[in-house]
Amino acid sequence: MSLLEVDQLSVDLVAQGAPVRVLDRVELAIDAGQVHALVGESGSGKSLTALSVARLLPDTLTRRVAGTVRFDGEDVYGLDPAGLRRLRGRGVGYVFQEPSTALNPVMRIGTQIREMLQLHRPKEATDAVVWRWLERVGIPSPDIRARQYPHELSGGMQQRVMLALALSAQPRLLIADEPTTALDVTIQAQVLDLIQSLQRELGMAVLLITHNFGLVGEIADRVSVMYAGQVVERGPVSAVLNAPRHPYTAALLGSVPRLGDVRESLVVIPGTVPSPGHWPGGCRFHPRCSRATPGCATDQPAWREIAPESWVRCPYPVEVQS
Amino acid sequence: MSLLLVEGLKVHYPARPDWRGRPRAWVRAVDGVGLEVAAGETLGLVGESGCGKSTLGRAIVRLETPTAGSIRFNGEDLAGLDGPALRRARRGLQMIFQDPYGSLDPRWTVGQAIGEGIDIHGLIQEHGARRERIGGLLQDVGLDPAVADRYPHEFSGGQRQRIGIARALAVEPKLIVCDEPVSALDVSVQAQVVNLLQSLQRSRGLAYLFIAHDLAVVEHLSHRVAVMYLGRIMELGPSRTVCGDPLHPYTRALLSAVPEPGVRRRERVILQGDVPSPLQPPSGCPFHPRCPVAVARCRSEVPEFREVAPGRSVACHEVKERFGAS
Repeated sequence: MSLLEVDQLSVDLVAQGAPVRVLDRVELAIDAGQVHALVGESGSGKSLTALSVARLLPDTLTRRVAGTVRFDGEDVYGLDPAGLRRLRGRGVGYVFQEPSTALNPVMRIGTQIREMLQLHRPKEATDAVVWRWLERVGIPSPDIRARQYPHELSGGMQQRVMLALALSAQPRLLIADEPTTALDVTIQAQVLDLIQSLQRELGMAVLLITHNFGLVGEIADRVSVMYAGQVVERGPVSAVLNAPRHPYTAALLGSVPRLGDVRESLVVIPGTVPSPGHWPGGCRFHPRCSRATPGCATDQPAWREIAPESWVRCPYPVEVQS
Repeated sequence: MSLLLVEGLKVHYPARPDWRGRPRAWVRAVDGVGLEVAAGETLGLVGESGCGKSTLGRAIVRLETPTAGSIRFNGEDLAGLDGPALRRARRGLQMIFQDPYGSLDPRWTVGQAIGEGIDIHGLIQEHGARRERIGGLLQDVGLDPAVADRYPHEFSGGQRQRIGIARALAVEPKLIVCDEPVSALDVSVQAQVVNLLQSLQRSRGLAYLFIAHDLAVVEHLSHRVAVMYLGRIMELGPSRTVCGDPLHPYTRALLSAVPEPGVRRRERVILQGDVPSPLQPPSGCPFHPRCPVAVARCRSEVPEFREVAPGRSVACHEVKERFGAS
């Protein structure tokens, strides 16, 4: 059994007027100790998927329409407030994209970590433990840093604090939502290395949300690709990156320039990503797909396993070249 | 002769004013940069945030006033010009901005935005011909000429970037400074804009100064690439050789930090620490506090930016010595 199982999850946004579907039958499964990457362009629903896993979507704005989210066998949407507090913290830790907005600007960083410990690991809520976590995420002189406020730290340092904050409760699943997007490449490499070594050391599972296929190849075991509110492909990372089966994944990989690339021009996906509420009927990708048939405009493709561990939402997957 | 020749360019900003408003320190955003761009060529400019690459680009089109140095464009020094003379000289020099949302006036139609440059330079007087020209420009960037009467909010990010490109093309420039034109775009749209820039270069013989932090995009688009760190150029050379065989330790670290699909657990040079503040740049070589091969000399002596192989220049004491020995 997987640590996290998301089954046929559909979510509506009910902000004003008619509800708008933002997630549509999302499938996700993460085993304990595994690094799972969730890739997609902006608006594909990857952050919303992650937020709904920790049940962080506000009830006033969104409504789960169908489907289940199970963490360690327990239905996340059936938990009482005490169960939810247990889930968020010891179950799921969360690292957000923008550390400068996710940290409390008027609280010393040591106090923020200590508060986390008091809530989730009360026996460990001491200065020494706070300092140890800061040290573990690579912050020098933690006793001095612990007394500083977020604005006194650089972006890379703030992201390390976010990481220390999430890890101090020792979660079984760390959700990292674009943890390095706001950082420069050399700092990104530092943070990525850190997540990877702590993941191995603590044996936790990681759900890494990114739009950068490069990161996926570096640290993930498995990858799910999202498009327009659906997961369109899932598989082992080497299979998906080297032999993508869904036409969208294949086109997306072809449109990214790589170092040492000798191609004259890049593969172009015509058109733009449709926004929620404007999703086309049938297969969501058919207006931009080079392999689309008339049937693609009317029939919803089924989510099916086409090879062991490899799932795809397309009736005409790309053939594997041998 | 080169189209653009920048020599010894410095842009310093006053900082930390005292009680009388006089600066107590200077931010050396660009600190002695020299580069040249030939007609029809793309020069890529890469570096991390805060290295001064955008300031350099803005100073070249004179959106910033240089503190020192010269910017020769078509043989004329832009650094000393102002008023009508600057405006005339700048016709051949346009800019595309990073943020496709912030760089178009929301209350102007697309046609007005594109037509402004045509009017300022008095290129077309007759109304019908002007309208035709705007339609033609929109077509060149892959948009319907009918969108000229629509407003920026009606377009997606990729389409707005195309409008920005059409606006730059309106005055028939020879060089376009592109400041991170694709970094705000989605991957699939980014490829469309990259291909558009390349085909416009081929059909119009444009030169680009392409500023970006994404090394793979820069390598793909550029003929030559310059690597910037703390206001200085560290390495410059043909893009394939700089990216394939970097000489400067900073370029090496930067390249090895770029994650790539399919490549797993490569040997990486992980740099320690952050980019230092340009308010208090380190003594000697600005990279020495993070450099894995720094020696005592790097702390005291600023390395000269010199040619170490045909077409390749590096600012590093260590590279010079290795080169001389081999």
